[in-house]
Amino acid sequence: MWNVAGQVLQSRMLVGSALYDSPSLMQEALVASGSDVVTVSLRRQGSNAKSAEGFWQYLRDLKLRILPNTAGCRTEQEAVTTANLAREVFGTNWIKVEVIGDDYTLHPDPFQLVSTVKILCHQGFEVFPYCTSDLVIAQRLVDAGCKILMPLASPIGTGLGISDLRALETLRTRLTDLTLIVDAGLGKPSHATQVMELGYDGVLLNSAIALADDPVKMASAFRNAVQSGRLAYEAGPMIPRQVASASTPVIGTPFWQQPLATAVREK
Amino acid sequence: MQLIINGESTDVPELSLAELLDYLGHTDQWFAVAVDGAHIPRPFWSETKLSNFQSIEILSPMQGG
Repeated sequence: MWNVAGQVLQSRMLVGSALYDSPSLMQEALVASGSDVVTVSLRRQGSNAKSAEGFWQYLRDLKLRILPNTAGCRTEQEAVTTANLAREVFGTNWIKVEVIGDDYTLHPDPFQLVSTVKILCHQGFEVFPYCTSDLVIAQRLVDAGCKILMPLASPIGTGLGISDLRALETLRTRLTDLTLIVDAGLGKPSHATQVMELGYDGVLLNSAIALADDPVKMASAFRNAVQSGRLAYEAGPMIPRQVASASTPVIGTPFWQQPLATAVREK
Repeated sequence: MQLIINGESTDVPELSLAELLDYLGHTDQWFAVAVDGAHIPRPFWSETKLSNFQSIEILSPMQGG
């Protein structure tokens, strides 16, 4: 169990609800993930109104905590308005703030993000900002009122894993009291284990599960990976050594003799 | 009156925001509305008058990552 934004959660994995072949497959994968929190968006309803309604019903049946996002927003005004719309629809003050600055990499716009977060924190939101792993931007987000940060591992939807391990390590080392959740870019369970071993509080995943050949099995694999990484962090890994060191005791090694004894015998 | 509803130009009668949503068949609780980029909370729908060429966004839950 752990605590995030005043809520006790069982799982350290937050999951997205997009990209599944069907709502029922999504539901099955979310259950297998063991997650307590699922991300959703707000969109215009068009010709897909029926399927959107079905999706929402499936999701509500799971009774998970909803983390709405501001996906697709590019300005402070869009993100603030979307956050307020989401608060009304979903009845939660939690908001995953995405303010995209570049269409190709989907990297966040740090300047718009900081100003957006400042407003939303002032309006009483619990802000989960999708950000880069840049330490100074992270500090500006903390100054703006954030208690949680969600740095990316790699660009959204790539599954490339951790592109800048040192930067993620630095964030963890410098922002010890902050809740840090790696969001975006994780592709394999081993990636999740790696960030959890660094002491990250959680991970947020979507594509890595939804785009797997077997999303339900992959959700389960990630669930175990996140638990393993956290346990390893809590257990305190050994300090790496530069030279070999036998783990089996040397004392009592068979066939070994003192150099002197060997020399006497050879005479 | 001509409004831009979810990005599409639409001719509708002179209506308040609450009346427009009824007119469009939005009756459940799972949506929220912005007018000209500003969120209009549900309690203010009835008193929100609309005028020509205003932009209305009606947003509902959707899959997200």
